[in-house]
Parts: sequence; structure tokens; C-alpha cells
Amino acid sequence: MEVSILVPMYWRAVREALRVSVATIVVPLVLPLFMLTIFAQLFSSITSIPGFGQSNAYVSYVAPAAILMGAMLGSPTTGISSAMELQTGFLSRIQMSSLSMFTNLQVRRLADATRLAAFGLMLTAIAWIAGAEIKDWPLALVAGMAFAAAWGVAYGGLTLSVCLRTANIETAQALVPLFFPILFMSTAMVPLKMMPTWLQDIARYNPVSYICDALRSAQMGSLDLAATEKAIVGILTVAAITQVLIWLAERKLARD
Amino acid sequence: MTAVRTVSATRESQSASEQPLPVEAMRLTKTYAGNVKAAKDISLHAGVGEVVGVVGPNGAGKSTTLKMLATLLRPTSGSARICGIPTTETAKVRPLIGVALQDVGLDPLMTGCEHFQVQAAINGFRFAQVEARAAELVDQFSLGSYVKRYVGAYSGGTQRRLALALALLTDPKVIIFDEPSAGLDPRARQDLLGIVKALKESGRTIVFSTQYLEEADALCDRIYLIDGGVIVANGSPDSLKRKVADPTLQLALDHPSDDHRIDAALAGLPVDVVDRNGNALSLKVDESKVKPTQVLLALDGRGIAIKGFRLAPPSLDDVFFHFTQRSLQPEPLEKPHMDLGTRTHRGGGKRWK
Repeated sequence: MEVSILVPMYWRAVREALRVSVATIVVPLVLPLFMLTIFAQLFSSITSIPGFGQSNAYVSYVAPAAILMGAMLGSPTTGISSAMELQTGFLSRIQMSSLSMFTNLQVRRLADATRLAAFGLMLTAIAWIAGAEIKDWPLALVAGMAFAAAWGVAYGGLTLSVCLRTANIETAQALVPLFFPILFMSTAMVPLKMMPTWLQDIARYNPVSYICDALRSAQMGSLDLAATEKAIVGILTVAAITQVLIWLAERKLARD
Repeated sequence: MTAVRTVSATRESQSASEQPLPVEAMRLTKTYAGNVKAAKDISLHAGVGEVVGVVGPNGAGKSTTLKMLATLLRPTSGSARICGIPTTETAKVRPLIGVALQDVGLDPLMTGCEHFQVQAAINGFRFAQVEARAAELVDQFSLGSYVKRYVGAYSGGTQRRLALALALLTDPKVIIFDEPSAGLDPRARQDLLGIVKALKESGRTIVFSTQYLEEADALCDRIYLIDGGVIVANGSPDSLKRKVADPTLQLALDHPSDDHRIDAALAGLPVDVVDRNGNALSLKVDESKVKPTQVLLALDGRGIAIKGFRLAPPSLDDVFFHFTQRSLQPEPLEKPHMDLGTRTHRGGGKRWK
């Protein structure tokens, strides 16, 4: 396979995302914006509850949650595009090329990662406008972009695998609400100590908890290496699981 | 000198016979989940410069067969080769073939122009290398006014024309078209016939499927009639027709003749009256027992004046009926599922649903 194929395929995916920008950019950002501007203000007094243990404004606390929410809501694009390609037969055209299915999907996911990284950048800036404290801008932006892209792509693999199996766009839409329990069963909204015990157990195994901790520490200017390490392990684990699901879906596709 | 020429000719013919066939399928079978056999023991071949038609009704197994030849579907059993290379060696086979499937395989969010660019890239070319060819195909398929619009805004016929043009972008040796004329208007279908003929003249091998018998008759060197996933007959259109049915002698009589005189003239002759209507008379003639001229003389002998006559060969529909006991009527194809409104690259219109 020639590497020269990858560049046009990457730009094709980027171009497509821009052409349906309402679906791929505007809609995924609506809820995070709501969270930073309305939700964070509405629950601003939560920080004064004993046990919260954070002296900053609540918007600073939930800024990482907004970034990850944007990443999760923006992650189904590769799955939706693949379902459409299966429906229209475009995937057969790709199959006829020297580009393997695996590479084709990874190129699309790379285009997704670019967009989600841009989400990370935008939401960090919006969080600051909404009142969040950013002590180290370069670190906050790099961490926001990297974690948004990495988590979004790893998590989006679930939608992709389902779309490859069903060739159905609606299944991708059906999976969208999944972001809700994942986010709320982590330390994205409140610290661990404020959760019921059973939820604390779940939050401890939820990679989103560690990604939020790492992002918060980056915004405060001192990266929590232990949390970052756990966040990376969590993302890699989810990426590995979803990649196996994608691989199984690809095999089914090739068999059929 | 003659001896030298003879030896040389023999060598040429040997070397030609040693060349692998462009398309060769041996007992291809495809069984889908639920033990649904879409194709059973399909064997076919196409020589250099041959146009071969796979003809049958919807659901007969045409697309499955063509997808297996195009490396897009793994056969459950059997094998196929393109230019001598097994279709399992996809990386070697795919550059040799141009494919346009029944699903047009176009991206509604890309313009026609971008499709040419991506098609070049996925075939391992820089667009600059095939730009002239792309321009030629845009002209040939009358796509000039569409190439800058989103494909989602094309009509079904225009989408199919673009899909065919893309299949030809890299001048493949073997061309596989699945229902190429489906969705085309009569003029575009006529243009397509011209394009296929030109491709044949340039030495390309073409395998295509169709439900249109007149199309197969006009284009194909050989036809494989397929029904229920099985090839029921194959041969040149003429040989198939000869195999299954007698020609029809169509007569234009000078005056409407009474039935008694006609019956009396034909008594004892191995002919069947197919139709009689005023001045027109159609007879099925068993050519192995009687010549059409004998029939004409017999009618003349009874004073039935004949203004003109024509010996009409049987149609491919007669052939299909002979083998399957049913007629092959093409069914209209649905427009591809990519109607995204009337958006153009300049924006506006509907978005993803």
C-alpha cells in the first residue's frame, strides 16, 4: 500500500465532517456549552458543601467533564460514515483498492481525532470564558486536545463496531445516551468522597475519573502524573476492547 | 516463405492459447447465512476482447457471481482467476479490474470531481497521472455539468454514469459491470452500448450482468443464462436461439386470406400457425424438415399472393423461457439510497438525518 493514498483519504474524511458541520461540530458542542454556562452556574454552590474539597469555582471542576462530553458526543462520526459507506456501497470501492479496511478506518479515526482535538481546544477556551481557572495555558491546551482526541477515538470504537455490524446509522444514534452514565459514574461531576459507596467503586474503575483528574491538574499547572498514567492505561484498555470489537465486525463483514 | 509464415502463425496461436484467460470461474458457490445458496457451481470464462453477459432475473445470483469475480465476496467453494491470478490474491487482481456494481458505491458528500481524485488515489495513482483520462470520461459520459456538484444531488442515472466512468479511470484490462444500464434513460443506454462496443474493440474483456435481453443480444459474444443461482444455459446469442427454437416465418399477404385456404396450403407441412391477423400471417417452421421456400411455394400454389416475408429468429426471451419455463421481464431498479436532497458544494440543503 502506498502512503500517498492515506493523505487524500484523510482529507476526504476531514472535508466530509466539515460539510456536515451541523451534525459533526455544532450538535456535539451544544451540551458541553450548556454544562459550562448553565449547569456550572446553577450548581456553583456545590463547592461549599463539606467534603467537596475544592476551593475553585465549580466551572473549573466540571471543565474536564465538558471536554470529555464533547469528545464522546462527537465520536460516532466514523461509525456513522462507515454505516453510510456500507449502505451506498462506497466501502466496496475502498475494498477494491490496496487500502485495507483496517487502514481505511484508522484514517477516518485520525480525521475524527483531529476534530475532537479541536473540540478540546475550543472547550478549554470556552471554560475559561465561563469562569474556569487556567493557570498553565500550554499544558491545559495540550492535555485538553490530547485527552479529548484519545478518549473520543477509543470510545467511538464502540459505535464503529456496531455500525460495521449493522450498517445502520440509527444504531449509532441509539448509543449516544451512553455518555450520560459513563460521565456521571465518574468523578467528572463531584469528587469521589461525595458519592455513595457503591458508586465510588464504579468511579474507581472508570477511566473518565482519571482523565478528569489529569485534566484538572493540567489546568492548574501541575500535571498529576499518577492520574495521567491511570488515564492513559484506561484509554488504552478501552481502545483495545473496542478495537477487538471492530476487528470482529470487520471479520464478519469480510465473511458475509 | 509460406512455410515460415505457417510456423510463425502456429507459434502465435500457441502463445495466444498459453495466455491465461482474462476471466475464469470454476464451480463458484456462495452460501449465505441460513443456508441460502445464492450461486451454485457457477463456471464461466471470458476471453481477451470478449463481452460476456450474465443474464437472469432479479435474485438469480448475478450480483453474487460478479462480486465473487471482483474479489469482493469470498466464494464458499470453487475458485476464480483473473488473467490467471486467483481472486484470493486480491492485491494482484484488483489493479487489473474495473468494477461498477449495482450499488453505485458513491459518497453523497463528495463531488464527482473528488470521486475521480479519490478513485485515482485508491488505485495508486496521483490525480495528475489520470487527469486527462478523467476529462475524457467526463465528456464520454456527459458528466461535465455535474462534476462540481455533490453526488447526493445527482439523479440515479447520473450516479450510474459516474460509477461507470470511475470503473474505467485506470484503463483496466477486465471490466465487471453489474446491471450497468439500470436506471439509465433510453438515450444513455444507447450511449452505454456504444461505450461497451468501443471498449471491446480496444481489447478489453467485459463481463456484465443484465436483465435486458436485447442489450445482451446486441453486445455479448457469449451469454450465461442464470436462474436460481444456477447457470441454465450458455453460448453465443445465436447458438442459444438455434438450440431452443425454430424461426418464425412472418408473411405479409396481398389480401386477407380465408383460413380454409391457408390450412389447406399448409396441410402436411411441419409448420405451426402462430398468428393470423388480416394480411399478417406468422408460422413456426421446423427447418430440419422443411425449408421456408417450400412453405412459400405451397401458399402460392393455393393462390395466396405474398407481398413480403421475413424469417425472424427466436428471441432470447424464447431461450430463457425454454430453460426456465418463465419469461424474463426486467424489473425497475430502485434509486440508490443516497438521496440527501439537492445540496451542492456551495452549501445549503438538508443535512445528515
